[in-house]
Amino acid sequence: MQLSWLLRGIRTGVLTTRYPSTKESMPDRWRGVVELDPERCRVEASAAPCVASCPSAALRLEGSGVATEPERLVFDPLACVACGRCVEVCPAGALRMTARFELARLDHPRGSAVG
Amino acid sequence: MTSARPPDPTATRRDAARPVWLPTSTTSGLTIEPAPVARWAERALELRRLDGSVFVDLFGGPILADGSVALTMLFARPDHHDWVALRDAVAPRSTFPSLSPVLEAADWYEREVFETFGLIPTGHPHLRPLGVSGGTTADELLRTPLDPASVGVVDYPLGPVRSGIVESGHYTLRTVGEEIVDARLQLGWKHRGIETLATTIDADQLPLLAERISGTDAVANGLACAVALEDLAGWHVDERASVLRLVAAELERLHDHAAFQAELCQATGLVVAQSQFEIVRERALRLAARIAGHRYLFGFVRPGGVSIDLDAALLDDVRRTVASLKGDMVGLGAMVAGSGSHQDRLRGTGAVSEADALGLALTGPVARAVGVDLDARRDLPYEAYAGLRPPVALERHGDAAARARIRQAEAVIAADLILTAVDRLLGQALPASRPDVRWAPRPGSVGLGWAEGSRGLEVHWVETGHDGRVARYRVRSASFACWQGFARTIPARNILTDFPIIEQSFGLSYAGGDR
Repeated sequence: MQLSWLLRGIRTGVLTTRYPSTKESMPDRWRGVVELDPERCRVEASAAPCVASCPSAALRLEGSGVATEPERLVFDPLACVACGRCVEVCPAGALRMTARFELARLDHPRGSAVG
Repeated sequence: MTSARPPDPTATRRDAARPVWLPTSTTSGLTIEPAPVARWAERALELRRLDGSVFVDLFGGPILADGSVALTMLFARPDHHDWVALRDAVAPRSTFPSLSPVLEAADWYEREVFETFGLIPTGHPHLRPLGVSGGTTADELLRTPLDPASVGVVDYPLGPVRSGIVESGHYTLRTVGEEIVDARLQLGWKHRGIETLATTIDADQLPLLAERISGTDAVANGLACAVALEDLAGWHVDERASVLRLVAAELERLHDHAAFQAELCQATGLVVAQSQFEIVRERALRLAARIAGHRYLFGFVRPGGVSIDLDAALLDDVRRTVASLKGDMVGLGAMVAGSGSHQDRLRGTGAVSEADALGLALTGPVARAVGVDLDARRDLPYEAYAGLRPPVALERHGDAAARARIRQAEAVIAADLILTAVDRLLGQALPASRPDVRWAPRPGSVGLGWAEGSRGLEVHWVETGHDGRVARYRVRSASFACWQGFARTIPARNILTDFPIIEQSFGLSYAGGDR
């Protein structure tokens, strides 16, 4: 009986990959890092539904300090749980889920996009 | 015992006869009976005798405006395919008669009420904090409640930090030679206060939280929560979404049962078999990622339906992959069944008696392994399972081998259910759009949702206050229900080296129990 396991193991062969030296890709629907396109963002004209829909407060509005300037949308990738709600509710299509999944790094600067 | 029935200031607006502590049930099949807590023991026995009712939950909350605490005891009635809840309100920091002497299963639940709400169940056989509800320090959790050991008796501490990927649990195993003669289990290390957190967020985000109670039960918990919310808001889920949810739930069962077999093989040192089962699990997780964009299907089930549909190409992918996984599970199951070294370690190990399974209201594969013929998919049907009557695997011996056979059989049944569901989905047109639903719950109401997860029955109680916000979110996880049985089983004629096998053969979730 032990021999049958051995044979099965040999038949299966090596399935593990050489990641990270070999790149892996995620499926099309993968919810990885959220990407914000500031050019398309019309947060000042809308009620910021993305901010309201975010369950983990990863999106927030931030003023520049100048009263006449509109608030801008700030995304904190460390707080993001990649649920995709913000992408669904964005009326301008400024947010999208990407297939990027490699989030670990030693120096995450808070409040900036994952680099 | 002190019973308090506070005056209801909104009684004239709502229902003159309905006090504030008695919410309206929005779930068809859930009856909420007002009953003084002093009569609960008598009523519980009556329900069990007359209707074959099964104890499911006992919990406190919400805390009412005058400080009194609502108490609820929930029963499932499989023979009637419905639910009965007993409800009362008691004054803060008061006492109520313990049900544990007549209803053994109530033990841990009463201790949780004691720990969380400060209500004292008088007559409880060993009242002390359970440690699963926060507010208990690590030092207190580690304090062993065993009497001092005498000469020749060794107390073997284990955890809470352990090797490998095993979650955090702390055990004190008392041994005489090889045999475990007593054991204490201390949970609570994964407590995140999810039930409290739920009352601070928007209710339509509740399933996101429910999915994170325990990653490997994500669909079961997300589904139970979504169903409860749908009842509260009066939403209808269309047939296609319901079948898609079934596919997700059964895929979760398939990958979790494969993981179970892998971990059991690891416990007995059958490493090639472990890797083979892990391959099955990994392929199932990758299929989940292709379906939902998440390996544990987070975000797939939504109140009102599902977040994303599956087109014909993806359904074909599901069919081919699941058919292949089923073939692998059948082949591996036969090989494991024929492995003498593996089976020798499982047979007779960690045996649960039928009396304990019934008395402690155990659920899922742990209960079915000792002949408790109960599966919510058949006996309390919900969603697409209604009318399907899926086959239920049963065993008699209640040991680790029986639990492994149950999980093996259920994995194959899960694959069959997915294949049948995919055939149904392929015959349907894709809906034009996902329903756009807005959260508008009924105030002062209860929605009950449940799902048969891979570990058993997950039950979610969502209760709204009079402002329409969630006032109480209660999760009775299958793992919580089964941990009581696990603690009882360890010292029952087992030796120290049986411990990892008993633990893996129960296959419970620490995070799920701790919430």
